[in-house]
Amino acid sequence: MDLTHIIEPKTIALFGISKTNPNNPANIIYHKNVHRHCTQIFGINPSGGEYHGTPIYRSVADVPGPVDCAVFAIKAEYIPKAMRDCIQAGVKGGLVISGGFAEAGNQGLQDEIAAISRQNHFPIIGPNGLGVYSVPEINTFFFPDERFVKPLKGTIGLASQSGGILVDLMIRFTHEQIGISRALSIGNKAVVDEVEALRFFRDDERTSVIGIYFEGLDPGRGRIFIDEIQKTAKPVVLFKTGKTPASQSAISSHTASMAGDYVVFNEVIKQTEALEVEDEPRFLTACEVLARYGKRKINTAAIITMSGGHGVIASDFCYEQGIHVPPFPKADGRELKSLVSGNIRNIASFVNPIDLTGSAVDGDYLVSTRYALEREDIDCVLLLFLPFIPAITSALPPQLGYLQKLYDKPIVCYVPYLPKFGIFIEGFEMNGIPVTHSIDQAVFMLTAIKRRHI
Amino acid sequence: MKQAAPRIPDIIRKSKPFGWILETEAKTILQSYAIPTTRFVWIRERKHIAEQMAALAYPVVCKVVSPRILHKTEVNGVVVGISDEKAVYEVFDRFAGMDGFQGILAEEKVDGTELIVGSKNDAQFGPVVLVGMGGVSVEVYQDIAIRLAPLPAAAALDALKSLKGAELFKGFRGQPAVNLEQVAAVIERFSHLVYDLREDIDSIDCNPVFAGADHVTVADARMLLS
Repeated sequence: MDLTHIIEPKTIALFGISKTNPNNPANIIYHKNVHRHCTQIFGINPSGGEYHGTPIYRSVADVPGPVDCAVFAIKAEYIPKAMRDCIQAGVKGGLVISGGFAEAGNQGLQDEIAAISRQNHFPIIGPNGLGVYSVPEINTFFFPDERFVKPLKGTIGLASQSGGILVDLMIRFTHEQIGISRALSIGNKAVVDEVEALRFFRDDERTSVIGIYFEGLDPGRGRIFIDEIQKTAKPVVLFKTGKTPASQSAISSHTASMAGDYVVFNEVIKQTEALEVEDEPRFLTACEVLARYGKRKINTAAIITMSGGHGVIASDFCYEQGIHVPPFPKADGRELKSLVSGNIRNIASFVNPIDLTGSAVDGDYLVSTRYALEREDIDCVLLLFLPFIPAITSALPPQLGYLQKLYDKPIVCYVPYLPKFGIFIEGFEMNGIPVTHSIDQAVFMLTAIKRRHI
Repeated sequence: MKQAAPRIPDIIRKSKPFGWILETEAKTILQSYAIPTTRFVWIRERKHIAEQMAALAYPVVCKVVSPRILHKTEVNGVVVGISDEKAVYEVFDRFAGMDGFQGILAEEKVDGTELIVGSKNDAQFGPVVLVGMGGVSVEVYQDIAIRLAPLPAAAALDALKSLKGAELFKGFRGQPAVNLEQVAAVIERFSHLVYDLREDIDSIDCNPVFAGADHVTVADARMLLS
């Protein structure tokens, strides 16, 4: 199923545009796309006429030139005919924004549009979704831009069963300065489901990480979903909800009751490289760090801290996650000791975690990080960065970013959050070092990029 | 009196009205996939007790065979530790009064580390195999691993080693170590059974399965039909 024409269209036919109601979803979609995107958009309404000085076409057949993508924001019962008109006119596929299908009890109508789609190789996304966010070509999320964030350009491809959650995620991504490539709101997923979304993103040059939110796969789609995950070299992050079983006895030893839908899902996914996350913050964190580093061999970490307590907490989390924090041999520690500044030489700890103490200066951080990155027994570095340490300057994050690129080993960073620490946080992020604001999330970043099945 | 083993489709067809397969026949299906079960006889008539029991070594376990009794222990339909023929007659006579009585299953007692091996047809993923530590570990701690069926022995071995109680396989408090490769090979064959019969059988519970240094034996088996 080729989704290129509906996700990256050159021309759009928009069904449902109103001449009188500017808040109609189709009108909002029209306004969002007509001036801001590079795609040509044609309004369709059987009554014809004009809207804001541009013609409204009575039928898709009247549109001059070929149409790639139809956007349907009309009453559900009119959609089968509109789809047939599009197929007749050579339109390549469509986005069904309208509700009123399976979610409203009209399974028959949904089956009908799915059958029209499949029989005519006319892929549709939806119904009952927001459509597609894929700029600069198309954005059918029908709320005015001034009421939304401006998502940043990046390489994370998102697909979501729930339009509301997708919007929520896009707001969070933008707030955390994480960019996305495209977002697909697959709604009732009559035709394009998680499997098709995965296939699209697998071949999509703009996407390097695939993030999917969903409540459940359709019956019988599990194996093909797993196959697609196995086939893609891109990291896949899954945020699955609807985990609560309908009924569960506290004590049971029968397979059917122990192996509930979610238990099976969880166990099966664990056998793949896909990462299942348990909440929105982890979804964001995983997508971000995977977009930055991809999957890596992560068996060991060096922890560099300015506070012993932070180092111990991070070590505990690493232990829980199966990431080894190997103590450095004494002789090696003596070497590092000789490299740091005189003011911490006799108070710092060089074992791993390396505790540079609150008296450290920028240079101490740099020599310690370089020392850790050079070690063959270290796969990555976890920085526990405390901006309130007096001698640390904002010149440090870019220099650490340079070291990361030089050695090509992942560095992740914990920085406690205060608005005034923004200069450090942005300094790390802009120089390619992902930042989180809790120690367990920082360790989770390492878990997320760890290749599990080699 | 040796009977020819019934074919699997015949067993399934005959069991459909009840929704599940009798333990005796479930074990026959397992055996046809080279999955070892306890040595058992299905005694349908009282007069054959002596003749059929000659094939087994005491002590034995006796269970009621009835398509109307899925949960045998709930009706006191299981007697363990039977050490002589006289007791078999007594058990037969007591079970004979039970609903839908079709005889008794007498089987040899086996020892070893207790496991559960099961399957179900998952709505999303189709047939899956479940392995877990038996007894309290499975009932309370739900110490299980699930894999798609069919699966190779290497994946079954990985599933067994992933259990929290996997240490127990190494021999714990005097128990002999479990030959895990042998268990994994049995699970591989079981996974093929599950996959082959996915249209007919909805779930299977082999519980308990006993494993030791040189054996893997299914002691009880329940197959529910789709």
